[in-house]
Amino acid sequence: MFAYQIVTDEVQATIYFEGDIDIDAGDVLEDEIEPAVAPYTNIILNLEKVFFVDSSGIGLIIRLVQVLQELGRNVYIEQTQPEVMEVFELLQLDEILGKEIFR
Amino acid sequence: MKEKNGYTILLSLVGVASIVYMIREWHSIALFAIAPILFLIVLLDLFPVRLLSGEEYSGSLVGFLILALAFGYNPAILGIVISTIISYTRKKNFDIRQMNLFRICSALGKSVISIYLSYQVMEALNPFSTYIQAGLGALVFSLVYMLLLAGASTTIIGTPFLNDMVLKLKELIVPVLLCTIIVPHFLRHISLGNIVYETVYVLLFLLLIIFLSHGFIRQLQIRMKSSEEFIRLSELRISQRNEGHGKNTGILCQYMLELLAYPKKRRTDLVNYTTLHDIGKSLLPMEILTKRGALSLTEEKEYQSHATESSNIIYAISGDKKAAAWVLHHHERYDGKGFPSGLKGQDIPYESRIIALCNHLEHLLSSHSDNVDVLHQLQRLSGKVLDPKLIQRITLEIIIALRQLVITKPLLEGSDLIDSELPSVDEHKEMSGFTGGTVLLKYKDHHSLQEMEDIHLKNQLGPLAEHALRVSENFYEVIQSNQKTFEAHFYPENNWVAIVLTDITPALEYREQLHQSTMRSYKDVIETLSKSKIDICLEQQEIEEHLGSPLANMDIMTKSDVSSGRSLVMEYIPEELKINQPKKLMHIKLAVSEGVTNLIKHAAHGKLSVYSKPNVLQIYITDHGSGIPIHELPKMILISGYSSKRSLGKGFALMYTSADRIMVHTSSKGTSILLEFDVLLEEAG
Repeated sequence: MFAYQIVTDEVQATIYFEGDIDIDAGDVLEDEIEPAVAPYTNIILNLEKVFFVDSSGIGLIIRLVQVLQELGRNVYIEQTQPEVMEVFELLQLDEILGKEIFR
Repeated sequence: MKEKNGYTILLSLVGVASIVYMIREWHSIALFAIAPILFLIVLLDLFPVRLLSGEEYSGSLVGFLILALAFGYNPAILGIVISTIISYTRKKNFDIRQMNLFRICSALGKSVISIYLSYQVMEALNPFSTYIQAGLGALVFSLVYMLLLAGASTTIIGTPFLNDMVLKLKELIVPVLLCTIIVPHFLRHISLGNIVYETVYVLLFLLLIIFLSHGFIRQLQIRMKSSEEFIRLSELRISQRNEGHGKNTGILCQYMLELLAYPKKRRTDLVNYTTLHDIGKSLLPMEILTKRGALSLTEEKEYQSHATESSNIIYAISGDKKAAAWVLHHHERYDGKGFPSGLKGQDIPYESRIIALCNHLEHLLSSHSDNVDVLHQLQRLSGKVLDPKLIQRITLEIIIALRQLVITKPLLEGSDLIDSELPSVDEHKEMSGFTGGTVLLKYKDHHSLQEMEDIHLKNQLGPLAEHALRVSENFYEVIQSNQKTFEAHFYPENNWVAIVLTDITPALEYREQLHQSTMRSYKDVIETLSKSKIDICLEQQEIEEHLGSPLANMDIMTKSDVSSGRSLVMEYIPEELKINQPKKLMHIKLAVSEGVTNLIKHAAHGKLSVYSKPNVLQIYITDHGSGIPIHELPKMILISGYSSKRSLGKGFALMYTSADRIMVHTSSKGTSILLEFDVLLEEAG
């Protein structure tokens, strides 16, 4: 199960993800979330309620972050669960996206 | 038939004589007075008008006539000498080393004779208006020059005298009009002493025309260059050997069109599309184009589609239905046995017959170094493949001249012609070790095969043999029957077909053995590299014998089944593990997720099953998609970290990290993966 909620103020959008992120989340991420948050300067991906991510899910996150960064946005990932962080580390996500993105 | 013959020597002697005459009569030239006109001539020769037909036209004739009418014969010769030297050096890019004194003299001779006759005519017309004088003078000059030039190309290259004459006569209109307008105007003002202004006026007028024509011609040249580059790129993809075929065919076409006096306004188009005639080949699979030896019947059909593909591309580029038809029919044969429409003789568009001729010529020139051979080979094709009327026009001299034009590349060893040839004896010897029995069958009608035991095979051979009789061309086809594979070659004679039938089953079995032994060595390599964590199974059975007792299974169809699969597996994981070993739990979910995602990406649908053995949870994922590339596995195991951005889709690497043991079987028929996890399954059942 995958769900999300977006909270915004003038310059910032926070996406609260909930559930597992796998290949099935692709359409929602690309078609709904990406256009919704693209106008904001600061974008935060909150993963507090995400307990599982696989390599396809990580691929989708990388894509979202890179698309937004190319638009000149500041993107952060916060409150990552330890289990999810371990998968991130297995695929060396910090090297791909840079350590400063996690907070 | 060479450059220095009686005719050209005579011309050059006239040239030399006129220079001598001019120098002796130097005192009659008022150099200062004619300087502006000489300057005009030089400029016109440096920047000639380019005509659509690709030929250059120098306006310097205007200058000759002015000199002749206003100052007399001798100054006109001086103008011609200067003009000839300037235009000749310009054509040689001002490279002194390439200058040929003989050619300059003979060119000079032609002009001098022309201006002499023209001068006589103009003198005779003296009482009439200068417009008539100039117009007829220009006509006589151009006509005589043209005839003298035609004489030269007849004696040197061997093109028939008066070849293309009607068309050339039409082009005379340009100089005649130009001179009728400019020369009288100029002459009227010379007398007033305004010669410098007049020169500038004429120059501006002519330079405007040159400027406009230059831009237009440039566009045409760009179009031709891009066609040549397109075709070169697609040829390069096919093989090095083909590079230049399109461009050369275009060059040959240009020459042939000149020889055939093809209408000039359609020439550039035809040359351009001839260059592109094989562009459809870029859409064919590489195997067909690069295959050594004969094509099978199915492959042959696919190869033939290139004519249609080329035609479609040409139509898309030009929107010209006629041009598309020219290219479509370039593989028709004169005897009607060609493709795609089987048109015969004059039913084949004239342009297609020309393209076919150029195509064959190009192949012959690149595969035969001896020009006599090329001519003989070409004559052999006459009436069968190519239009005999076109072939008649081609002489040994023409082939010698053509070879100078094409871009040469190293000659091929032996002949590698368009006609498919029988496999060589050596090839047969080499293959005989792997092939089964070969039989020769004679097919006359459907009774001929009656003695064959294999009915299924007989039913397939019959229609193919009938096809061979119809098209009377050699081909082969691969046939399967009773779990055996045969290669059948068909060689049609007048009213019967020789069928050479070879059982290639042993050869295929040999290939399969080779595959098996490759897999075995990979099995060893991967087992060692992965410290026995990954087992490559040669048979699916090996995995299935390893399975414990079945717990559950589900079909995998869509992306949402990735999470359903994880949930299914979760049901069979003991509560105790879920609470105490969150990391282990995550690894199991991850491996299942990757396995199922892999299946959806590469096989569309398959099955996920859960089995158990004491203390071991087994996840079995099977599909019928194309197998996974085993040769990627060692690299994946050796390079554990992936920091490159291409790290998406590293499903197998994660499965390898997460599972305790993996068994894999993969073949072209599908893939099976068994993931094993060590768990304490106290509540299993």
